[in-house]
Amino acid sequence: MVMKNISLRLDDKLTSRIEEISRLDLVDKAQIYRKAIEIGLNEIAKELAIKLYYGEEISMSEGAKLCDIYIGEFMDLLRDRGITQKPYTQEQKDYIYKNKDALKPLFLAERKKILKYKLKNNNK
Amino acid sequence: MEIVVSDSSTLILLSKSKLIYFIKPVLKIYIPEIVYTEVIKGKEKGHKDAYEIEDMINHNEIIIKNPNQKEVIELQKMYKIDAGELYAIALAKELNKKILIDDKKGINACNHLNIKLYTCLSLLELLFETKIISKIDAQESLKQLELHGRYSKIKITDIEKKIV
Repeated sequence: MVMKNISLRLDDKLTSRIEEISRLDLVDKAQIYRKAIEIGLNEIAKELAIKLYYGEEISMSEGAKLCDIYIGEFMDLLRDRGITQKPYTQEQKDYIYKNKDALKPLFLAERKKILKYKLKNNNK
Repeated sequence: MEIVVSDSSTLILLSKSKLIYFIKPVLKIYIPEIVYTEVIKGKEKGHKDAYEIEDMINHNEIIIKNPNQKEVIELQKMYKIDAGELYAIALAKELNKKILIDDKKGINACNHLNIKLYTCLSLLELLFETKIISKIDAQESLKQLELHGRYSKIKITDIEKKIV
């Protein structure tokens, strides 16, 4: 993995904490900085994704991409935070229901097939 | 068997709610490669739905097909939607087939392009109406859709009332 150098200004409190963790965990400071940034970044991404999803600015797939997680995990994240979609607009609702019966003949034919199969097996 | 196109989140929800097993004998699902990549990412952390979908792909019950790139570019100019949804809509448009989609921006684009669509909930409703799915199975699927699909309470209550 290619690493890039960045410079940051951090206050004394933060640097002291990192030094303390480094001393106790016997891990070099750079590793702790990297881990802290990664964990913090994941949290920031999650908060942003939830906010944007709730505001209907992004989809579930986009939210998952932003968090670098699977869509199913993003669904779980939304569930854990109690976030639900806003209701459909009347126009969206009308369009969804306008076409609802388009597959009906196909499903009814399948139902007939199932019944025929059941009847055949009952007569055996 | 009728061909329908699906986007990633709807396909995952169909698997989580088990509705995919009820539509399998009737519908052949087509997905673009980008949707496949998004769904299969679930295997990294052992998500059951990702394995189930992969299994269906291996058994040719779900087909991977990319839309014409020209179609994708055209739609990209018109709509600000995620790549997965955009490719799925482009494929449905190109094949002149219905699409399974739950994303609101995607629904708006389909409305504009006059592409017939089903959401997981409208599909569940139709499956129950045509008695392909029993009341108990429909209620269980609805429970899973409520849990994972993050549908508004209004939408869930609306379907609940119909499954009686």
